[in-house]
Amino acid sequence: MYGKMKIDRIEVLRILAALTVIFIFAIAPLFGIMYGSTPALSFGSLTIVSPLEFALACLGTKSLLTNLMVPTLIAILIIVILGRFFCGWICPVGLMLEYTHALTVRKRRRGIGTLWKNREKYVALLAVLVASFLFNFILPYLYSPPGTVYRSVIYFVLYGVIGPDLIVMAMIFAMDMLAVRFDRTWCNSLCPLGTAIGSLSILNLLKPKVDQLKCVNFDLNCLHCESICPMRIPLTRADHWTMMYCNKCLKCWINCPVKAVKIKILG
Amino acid sequence: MRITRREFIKLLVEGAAGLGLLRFVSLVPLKGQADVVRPPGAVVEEQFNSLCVRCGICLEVCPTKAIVLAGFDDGIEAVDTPKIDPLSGPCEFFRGRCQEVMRCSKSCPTGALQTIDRKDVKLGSVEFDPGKCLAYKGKECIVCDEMCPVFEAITLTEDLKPVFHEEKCVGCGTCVHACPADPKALVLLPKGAKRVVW
Amino acid sequence: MNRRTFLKILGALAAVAGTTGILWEVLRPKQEPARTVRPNAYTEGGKSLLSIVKGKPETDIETLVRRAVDSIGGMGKIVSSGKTVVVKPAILTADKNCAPDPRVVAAVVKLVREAGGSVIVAECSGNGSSTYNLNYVGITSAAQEAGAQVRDLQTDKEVWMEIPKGVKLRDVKTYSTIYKCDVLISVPRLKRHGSSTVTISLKNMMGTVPPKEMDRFHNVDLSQCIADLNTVIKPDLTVVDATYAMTKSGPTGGVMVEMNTIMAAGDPVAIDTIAAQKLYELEGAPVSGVVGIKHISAAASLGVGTNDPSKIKIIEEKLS
Repeated sequence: MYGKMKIDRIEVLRILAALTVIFIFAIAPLFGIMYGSTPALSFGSLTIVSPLEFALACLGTKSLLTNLMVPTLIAILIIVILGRFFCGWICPVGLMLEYTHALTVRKRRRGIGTLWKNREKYVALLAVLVASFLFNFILPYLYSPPGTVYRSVIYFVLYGVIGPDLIVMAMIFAMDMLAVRFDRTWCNSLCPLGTAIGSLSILNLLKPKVDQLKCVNFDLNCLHCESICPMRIPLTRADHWTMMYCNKCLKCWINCPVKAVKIKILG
Repeated sequence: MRITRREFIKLLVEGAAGLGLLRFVSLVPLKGQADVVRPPGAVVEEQFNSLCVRCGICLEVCPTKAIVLAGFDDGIEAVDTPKIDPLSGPCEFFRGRCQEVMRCSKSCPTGALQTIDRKDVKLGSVEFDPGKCLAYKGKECIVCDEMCPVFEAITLTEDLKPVFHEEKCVGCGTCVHACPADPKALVLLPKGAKRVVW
Repeated sequence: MNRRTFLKILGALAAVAGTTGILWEVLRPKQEPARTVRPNAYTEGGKSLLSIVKGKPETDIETLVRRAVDSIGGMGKIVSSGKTVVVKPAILTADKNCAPDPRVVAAVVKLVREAGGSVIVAECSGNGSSTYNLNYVGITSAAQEAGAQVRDLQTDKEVWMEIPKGVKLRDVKTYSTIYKCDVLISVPRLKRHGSSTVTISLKNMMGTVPPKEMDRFHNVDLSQCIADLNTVIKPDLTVVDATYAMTKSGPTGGVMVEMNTIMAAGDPVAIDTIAAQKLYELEGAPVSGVVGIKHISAAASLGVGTNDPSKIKIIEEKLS
């Protein structure tokens, strides 16, 4: 690792945000304000359906579910604006994975290579979609770990029961800790939900951008921002498409030694 | 976003392997297609598996806690889908808190549970084990007959032992929930359940 | 390990043991002494008083209830200013024929309030949510309008109580509201019942215990348990709603027959006996069958009341 990574205030905020959302998911049903989990939320008469679940349901039943189009469009609208902000600030699984990597010995590679290599995630997403179409098979805990966490918490709060989801959570963590590449391997290389969100984040607010005048990479071969990025985005040469997978954790912004990374609201 | 041919083939192989794995996993169900008692208004099982997005809304709105999540022992395809467990609570669609509106069907966002008329609902039927029944052991107990909301789905013999009529049973699970025997003499099964064809 | 560490560990273990011991003693459920039960206030010359008031279909129900209670001595005999009175209607489930008429409950509440008592209408339903059931049958609104507080016993605190005179039941769990009240009034409907044959006032008291206790009674010996229960949870006054009686089968799904009658007594065994006789008469069944009703005779043997008609003074009245 390039120097010791400080636990900064942004990380604390992210943990608090994720915990608050879990709390809201657990308490809201008791007051009748909001019901559901990431696949679908219900606020009384208004429902929001996640686009990945919408696609899977349509493919599985081999028909276009017109009654779900408006709820899905609402979700898509939110994703278009916020992008993978969900992955960085809300998803409890992703945040936990960032810290569990410390339990296994890692070798971080600097300068992640000239090609953006994490293409497996498209394969994963496609495999999930095709499996739903061909085999009518859905594994919600594998393609949507945050949904699993919220559902487990709600189940526990309402019924006092620990559901079947815990086994699955253990599987995901085992998979990530054993994969000796980088932390959040699940998030960058496999998560179908994350990939779907990333592919839809067109507006992508709060994008980090390298100020080429300040960046010392050319002289000093720094690339600190790239080695610290949990999503393994090669920040110095990323194009618009690659940047869509940024989860707004702001680590590059905090940790750049010459403060060359700027956060742009738009564009 | 350049991609080499080598990489493309690697991705293709990975994809096929992934699909194969998913297919293999779905071929190893612990119980084949899920054979559980579904909440009122459930569509047929193949469609249910696709339509249910496992959001948990039905579970959260159920006032009696009758809806629980299916586990791995109900088949790997059914994990986290809703099912009725009368030991957790009876389904009060026929008489009780849901007799006017079936809240689970009303709140299901995808239509895995359809809103249908109360008289078309049959969740399953009960299976009776007289060996465990208190009345068959000479005790004074006809709680199942007392609690059953359906007219003459349970009747009593001359010497006050319960007799169950499967064709009238709507599968609400009230008798199962109320049975004071330990272990219970009744179990709710999906036999005879009426599902909606979507 | 040196002595210091050893002593520290010993000290820590002692502290843990001590705290656990104290917590256990404080938190464990303790058995309370039996609830004080007063002897029947409605007697005359050693006989239990019982009134039967029959009206016409158009007779005001409150008038019937008032006449019935006044005939045996009036509410003032058990209720005085400042007393907490629990009115226990027999609900069981969301069924309007099974539960007493809300107007009867409202009339009883009114009489209690006139005598100066504060009223809580309480119920622990055997089936479903008590709150929903009370509301569905119309008792919640009627009772609240008459000035009573309506309480779902399942939300109340449980009290574990001993039954000194119990034959099969030596202890029972009930609810704090029942345990602490000054006066208990039972308002059942006249109904048939499969296993105990009739369900009137004595069986109504089963609605004051948690559902798990109800299960226990069925496992042990239902009729004896009802009798044992009534030695500690005995109603001071019973008002039987026989405006419509459930015949042929019960407690749900029976044939409702119009009787336009209200009965009242202080002795629950007496009123169960006479009311059962009336029910049998209505159905055309032999009245001698009443002797065979197990929970009534068991309760009589335990001294809860009398099932001997010669020791019951009946005051019948027909309102025009």
